[in-house]
Amino acid sequence: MAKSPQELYQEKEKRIQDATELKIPDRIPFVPQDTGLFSKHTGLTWEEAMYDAGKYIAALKKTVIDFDFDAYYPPLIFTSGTFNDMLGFRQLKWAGAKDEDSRTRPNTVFQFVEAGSLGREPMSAEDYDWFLDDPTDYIIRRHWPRLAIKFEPFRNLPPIHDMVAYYVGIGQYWPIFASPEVVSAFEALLASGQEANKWVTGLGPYFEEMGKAGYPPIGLAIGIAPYDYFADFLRGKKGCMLDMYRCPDKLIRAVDKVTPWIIDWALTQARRFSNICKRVFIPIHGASGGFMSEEQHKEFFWPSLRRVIMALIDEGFTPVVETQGIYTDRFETIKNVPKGKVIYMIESDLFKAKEILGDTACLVGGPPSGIMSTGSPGEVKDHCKKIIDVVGKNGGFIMATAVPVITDKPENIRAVAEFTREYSTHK
Amino acid sequence: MADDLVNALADLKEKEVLEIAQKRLDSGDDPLKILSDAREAVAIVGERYHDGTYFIPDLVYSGEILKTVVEMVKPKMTGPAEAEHRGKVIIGTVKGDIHDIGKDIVTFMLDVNGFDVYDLGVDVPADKFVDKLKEVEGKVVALSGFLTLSFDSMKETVQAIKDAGLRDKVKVMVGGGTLDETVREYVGADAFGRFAGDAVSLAKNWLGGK
Repeated sequence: MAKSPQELYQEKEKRIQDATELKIPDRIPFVPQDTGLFSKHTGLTWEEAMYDAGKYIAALKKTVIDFDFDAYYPPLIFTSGTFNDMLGFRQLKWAGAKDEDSRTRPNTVFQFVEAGSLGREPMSAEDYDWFLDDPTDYIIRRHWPRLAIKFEPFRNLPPIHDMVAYYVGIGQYWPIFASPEVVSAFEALLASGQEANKWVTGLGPYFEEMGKAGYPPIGLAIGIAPYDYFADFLRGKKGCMLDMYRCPDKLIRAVDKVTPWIIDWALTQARRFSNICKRVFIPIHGASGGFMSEEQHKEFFWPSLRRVIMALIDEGFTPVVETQGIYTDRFETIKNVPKGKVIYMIESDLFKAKEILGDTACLVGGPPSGIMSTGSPGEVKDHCKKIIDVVGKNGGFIMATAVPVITDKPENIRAVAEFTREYSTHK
Repeated sequence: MADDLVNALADLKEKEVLEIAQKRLDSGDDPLKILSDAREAVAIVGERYHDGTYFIPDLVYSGEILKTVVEMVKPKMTGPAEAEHRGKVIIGTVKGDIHDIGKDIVTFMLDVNGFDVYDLGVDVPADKFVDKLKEVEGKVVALSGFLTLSFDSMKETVQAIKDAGLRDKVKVMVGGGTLDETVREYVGADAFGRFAGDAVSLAKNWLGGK
């Protein structure tokens, strides 16, 4: 008799939970991250996905079900193309953008424009004191104007803490809210709120529908490494690199400052979703490969990330940490977490990861992008066999692809799915 | 004094570098010599990066110190700086990809090692590479890409170079992200590099130099 969606859901959830606890599951779960497979598979373009939540989640759902993933990722389009267009949003480039400067090539994945990259003005070293003393003021009056063209007039606002009373600031400063530029910025803010709400509401049914179809999420709440928060969105990678030499104390203070915010933010989401999912997805990348030495990683990156990881574990959540890029030299350091409580996604040397991290954390990985993009299904299966034989041994492993799926051939994804299902039983 | 500057910069001692440079300028030392010492030091930084002693922040920092030295020295210079000319390298992040960090680091490394680098930016279509190759009669192209979609753009670019009848005159290197030998073969490049220093070794091999 065919299993009910509810039974399927329980089976898949248990499979992932067993792997997380370093046990041997009934078979190795298959949980790739879809950053474009949906488009290849269903024909929905990125332009359509960016502007139509309904079509986007329908394509995601069809892909998860057709390839029979054991769990799904949350939709990665967090703000719609309409939202981005109306604000002149600067942190992304995406297919179909109205403004040519924000547009990527047709039907390609959206891409981030980090602070300091492609001419985007980052926080300057001189702004450290302002940020550390009054971060919210800094974010409203300096960061938001850099976030979106329509928010530029927020630069004209007086310090928020000066506007507290009848004759302290209110009388003097309130007329700024009549200035046409500031009014236009607030109008844009209000309109974008409506659009953001529409988008979030549009994505909402996805989680319920996936549950009804028998598929659990790998993580719904999201976290971030405190260093990445500061480097990607405020100071810029290059700025942070220079600060490691010129003002290391300030860099550490800034990262320490944002850490409790990130813990609160991640926990708030995790508690909200806890009846559906106890895992929290944390993509990290600022310490990848040569971006810093291992000493710098231990000084500037890892301690605050570990605090986020531990805070989640303490409340019974499982961090799913995606180590983007080359992380092999960091394995010894990131091993310092409680056994069976963390999932590490590995893009770099999965075999080395098994050696070093295998008895501590569940690993997620798969064939590298070279084979996935250019190889045949047969070659893909050969590679999967090697992975399952070595990395899948004794459990604690989830199959995926080494890097998120973008232009990879759908037939190669199918090869990973099929081979894992058939070969991994009782391995 | 020359050694002092080279060593101080190679060891990333910014304050010391600027003091020595100022002293040498004050004592009437040739600004061009100061500049060539500073470049020599940054090349040492590149070697240390290549052998794993240094990391990207060290490269970036040395670049910033070099920039400050250039600004100090420039007003005292009477003629143009005589840079080494090891040859021309055309570089860019290929069509569809806007990642610039890796490409910028390779550009910097090639530049301080005496190559004339033509940086075409990001999201560069194949014909732009071909046009530049023809315009400057370049012999080396470096294609950068982070996303997996860049593999097809790289392949397209190599094909365009072939179609323009230039393939046997031009060497192509590729690099970035998760790229490996499988991808090099797929796109039809001559070599791939995992680290920025690889680009320098490859360019030296292809264009000559130590």
